[in-house]
Amino acid sequence: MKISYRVFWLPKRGSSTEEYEDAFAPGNSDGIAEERKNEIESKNFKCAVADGATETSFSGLWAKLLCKSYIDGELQISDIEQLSGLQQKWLAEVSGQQLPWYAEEKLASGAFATIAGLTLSEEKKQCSWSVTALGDSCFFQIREQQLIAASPLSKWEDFNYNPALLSTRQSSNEGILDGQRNENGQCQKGDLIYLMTDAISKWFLHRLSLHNDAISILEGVDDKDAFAAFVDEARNDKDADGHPMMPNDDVTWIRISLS
Amino acid sequence: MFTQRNKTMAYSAEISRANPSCIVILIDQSGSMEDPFGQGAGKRKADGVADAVNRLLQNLVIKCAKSEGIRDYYHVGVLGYGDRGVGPVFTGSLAGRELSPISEIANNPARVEQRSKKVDDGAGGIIEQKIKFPVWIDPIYKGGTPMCEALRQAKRIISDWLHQHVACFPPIVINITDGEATDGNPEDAAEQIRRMSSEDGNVLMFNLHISSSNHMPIEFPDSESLLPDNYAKLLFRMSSNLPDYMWSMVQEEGIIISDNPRGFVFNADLVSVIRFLTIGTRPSNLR
Repeated sequence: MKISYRVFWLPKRGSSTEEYEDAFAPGNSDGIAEERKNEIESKNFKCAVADGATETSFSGLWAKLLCKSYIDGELQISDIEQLSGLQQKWLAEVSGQQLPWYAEEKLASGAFATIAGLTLSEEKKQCSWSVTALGDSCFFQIREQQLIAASPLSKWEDFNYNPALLSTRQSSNEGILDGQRNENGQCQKGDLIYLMTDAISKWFLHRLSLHNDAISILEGVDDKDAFAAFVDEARNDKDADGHPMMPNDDVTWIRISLS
Repeated sequence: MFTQRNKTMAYSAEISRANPSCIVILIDQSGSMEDPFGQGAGKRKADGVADAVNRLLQNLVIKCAKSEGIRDYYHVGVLGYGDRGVGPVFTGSLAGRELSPISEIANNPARVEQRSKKVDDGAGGIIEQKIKFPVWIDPIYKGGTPMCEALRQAKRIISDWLHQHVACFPPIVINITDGEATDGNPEDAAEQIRRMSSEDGNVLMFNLHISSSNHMPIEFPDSESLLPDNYAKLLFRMSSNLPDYMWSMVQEEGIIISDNPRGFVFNADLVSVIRFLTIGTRPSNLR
C-alpha cells in the first residue's frame, strides 16, 4: 500500500506559532512538521491529530504526547489506567519551575486534549482503517468525491465549545470513555482520508451540507500559502446566523491519499 | 433533556487579545454591610462581598492564564461605594485606576494568602491541600450606599470602552450589594447601562444580592414573585435577561431554570458567570 500524506496547520488568527496548541504525528521532534509531501510504502501506518483545550495550560504539550504515544503504538484510550505513564511524563515536563499563583492553580487543574488516531493496515492485499477518537477531532474517508465515512462526528451542528476531553488528571477522566469512539472499515486505492481538528472538521461538514464543494476546495490546496489563504477565507465566511463558517481556532489537517 | 429556544446572533463575538472585553464590578461598602450574612455563622455581609469579588477576580485570572502567562482577554475595574463616595478600590500599583488589563490585576493582588482546600485524594478519601489565595479586596463597611452614583460611573467607564471597542463581546457589570441604596432608586441608572451596546449585543447587568435573610439561595430566577424581600425584587428588575448561550450553559451545568431567567442571584455564587465567558474550548470534564 502506497501512502502519501501531508500535514497542514495554522495557529488561531491573532496568535503566534508558539501558541499553537493542536498537535499531530508523525512530525519532527517538536511535533511541528513542515508541510512537505511524504510518500511511504507501509502495511501498518499510524497517524494522529490532537487539540489541546484553550482554557487549560500546557495543553499543547499534552496533545503532542498523546499523538506521539498513539503512533508509537502505546496509547490505548480504552485503558484509562494506562494513561498514568503519559500523565507522569507531562507532569515531569511542566513541574519544577517557580510559578506565579495563577499558573500553579491552572497547572493543578490539569491539561486537556482531544485525540483522533488512525491506523491503516494491509493484509492479503486488503486495506483497512481503524479510528479511535475522543472529543471532536475527526476522521473522514472520501471516495470518488463523496464522503463515505465520518467519525466521531458526522454533523456540523454537533460541534460545541465543551467536549469531554482526555485529561492529565486521572480524576477528570472518570466516565470519559462514554465519549470514546472506535470504528473501522475498508479502504482502497484512490481513497482520500482526512484527519482534522475541530474547526476545520466543522467547516468541512458544514460546507458539504450547503454546497457540496468542500472536497474540491480542499483538494485545490497544494501548499502552505494556499492553505493559509483557504483558512483565512473560511474564517471570514459567515453562516446564515452570522457565525464564522470556520471558528477562529488552531487548525490541523492531515491529508492522506492511497495508491 | 434541555429545553430549546430560539437562538439569536448576539453575544457571539470572539473574546481575544485583539478584541478584548471589559467587566466592571461594583461593590457595596456601606455601613449596612456590617450586618450578618445569610446562614453563615459569624459572617458579615461585607465578608460575603469581599469573598465574592476575590473569587470572581481569581476565576477570571485563571481563565485567562496560559502556559506563558496571562492573556489580556479582559480589562477589569472594581468600584466601591460607601463612606467615601464612589471610586476604584484596588491598592498598590493599581490604585486609582478605573480599568486595568487582567494581567496587571493577576500580578498585583494586595497579598497572596496560604489557605487549605479539601480535595479528593483519588483513592476515595479527602486530603487537605495548601493553596495560594490572592486577596485584592478586604471587607469594608461604613457610611451610606450611593448605588445610583456607582451605576452612573460604571456607565461612563463602559461608554468610553465601547467607543474604542465597538465590536467587543458586550461588557458586563456585576453589582454586589444588599440593595439598600441611599441616593435614590437605582432602576433607571441600571436601565441606562443595559441600553448601551456593542455591535455584538447589549451590555449585561448582573446583580448579586448579599442579604441577611435566612432564605435559601436563589439562582437566575425568572420572576420576582418568589423573591424574599423588596431589595431582592429591585435588584431582579435591574438585572439583564441571560443571553441565549448563557442560558444553555446554565442548563448544561444542571441548574434548572425557566425560559426567561435574569442575571440575578440571591446569597449564591456568581462565579458561574465567569465560566460562561467563552474564550475557546473548555472541556466539559474540567471542574
